[in-house]
Amino acid sequence: MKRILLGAGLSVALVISGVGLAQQAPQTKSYPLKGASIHDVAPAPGGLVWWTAQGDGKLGILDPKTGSTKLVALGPNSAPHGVIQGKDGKAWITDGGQNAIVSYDPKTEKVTVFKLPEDTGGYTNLNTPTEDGDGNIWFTGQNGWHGKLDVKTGKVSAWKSPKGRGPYGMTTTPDGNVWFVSLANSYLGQIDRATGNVKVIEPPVPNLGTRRVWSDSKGDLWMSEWSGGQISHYSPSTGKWERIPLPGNGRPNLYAVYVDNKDVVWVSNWADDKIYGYDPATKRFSSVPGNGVRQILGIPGQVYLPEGQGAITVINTGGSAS
Amino acid sequence: MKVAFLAGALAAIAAGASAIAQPISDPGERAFQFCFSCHSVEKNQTEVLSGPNLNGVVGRPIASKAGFDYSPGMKTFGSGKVWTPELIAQFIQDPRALVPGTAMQKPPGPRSPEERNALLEYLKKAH
Repeated sequence: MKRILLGAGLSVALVISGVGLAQQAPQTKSYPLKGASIHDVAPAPGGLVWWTAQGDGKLGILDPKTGSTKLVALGPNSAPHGVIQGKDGKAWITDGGQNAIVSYDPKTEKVTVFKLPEDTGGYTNLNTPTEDGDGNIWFTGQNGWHGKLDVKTGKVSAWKSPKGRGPYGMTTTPDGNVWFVSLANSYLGQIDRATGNVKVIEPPVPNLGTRRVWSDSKGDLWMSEWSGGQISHYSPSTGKWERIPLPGNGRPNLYAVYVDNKDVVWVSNWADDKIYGYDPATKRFSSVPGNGVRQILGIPGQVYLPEGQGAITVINTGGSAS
Repeated sequence: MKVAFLAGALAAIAAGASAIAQPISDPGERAFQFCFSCHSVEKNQTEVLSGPNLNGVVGRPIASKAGFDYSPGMKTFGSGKVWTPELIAQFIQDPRALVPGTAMQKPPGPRSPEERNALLEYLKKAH
């Protein structure tokens, strides 16, 4: 029995440390955006790409076909962090500077600001948005908040999160439910969408610094560990939490995580300026260069990387699987 | 072997009720919300935050909080200096202009001189 276990461990180690990286690296294409402050990116209608220009208080729009760009002002004191595309085709933005959720309608070019309630203290350090199964926008505030914008009424609700500061990445599972992770307090939270209450799921190891989270096609949650340096994987159906180390012997700091349409898990490692793709089916890794990548998103066949040094890089993952 | 062991770990689940918000009346504490996600003023801080603890920061030698891993830029800038209220006010308006190489990004606030003064009074009281 011991021999079998050792053999299995060895094969995994070989895959993650050697064979996986020996695979052909995915093709990438970069779009330099000179002088731009890029935080997060999202696919936009018509093949365009949105990005949050946090330091400029604007939404950026890139046309990858031509390389042309455009900036949309979001309002006084704006400092946008996260952006997603809703099913309505609008950009939904977490704007820390305005302490508001901001929408941008590409059809009318109208910007609408939905302020958080005043009793949130004026500044919640808004972080990540996600759209739930009903089309409402949920968000995290790193000062210790989570909340919801009811898109039909425009009402914004906010709740104090368990344990205080830390709510960071947020995602929606295929059943339409919403989960988030706490960076400062290292937990995975499942939101009860009817009440705003949170079920706290503690990792098996403390102080992992769970920074971002993304759902795969089955509703399993994948997390980037900023302090722990590994990929965390939680399965709601079994209650199991596994941790997957990156290849090599370094001390990774994982910032972003995204699961693509083929259920490949992409993470950015700030310790070696690389983006790693982990395929849970084969347990193999691939990697591409990626500097200062704070968030990852994509469309079938493409993964978008907002690079800190002023570029959006697209990984070609081999066509659509849809 | 380590991978196989950790793969079997079961997560602990606890119910976490969400409290309803209470307004912040102290203007200094309100201004500190711009700092809150990365800094604590609690003496017995337990959270792992990206910024150093600010309890007693006014008058403290720069880059001297034990256990915090300061950037080389902050260590160089701070040599022989202490955090005065004036220096803190200058730093928070544009951290990288004052301290090249600091890890701290420019926060979106405090925005007005009144808000900055309220923050400084709040930090002075944090002992």
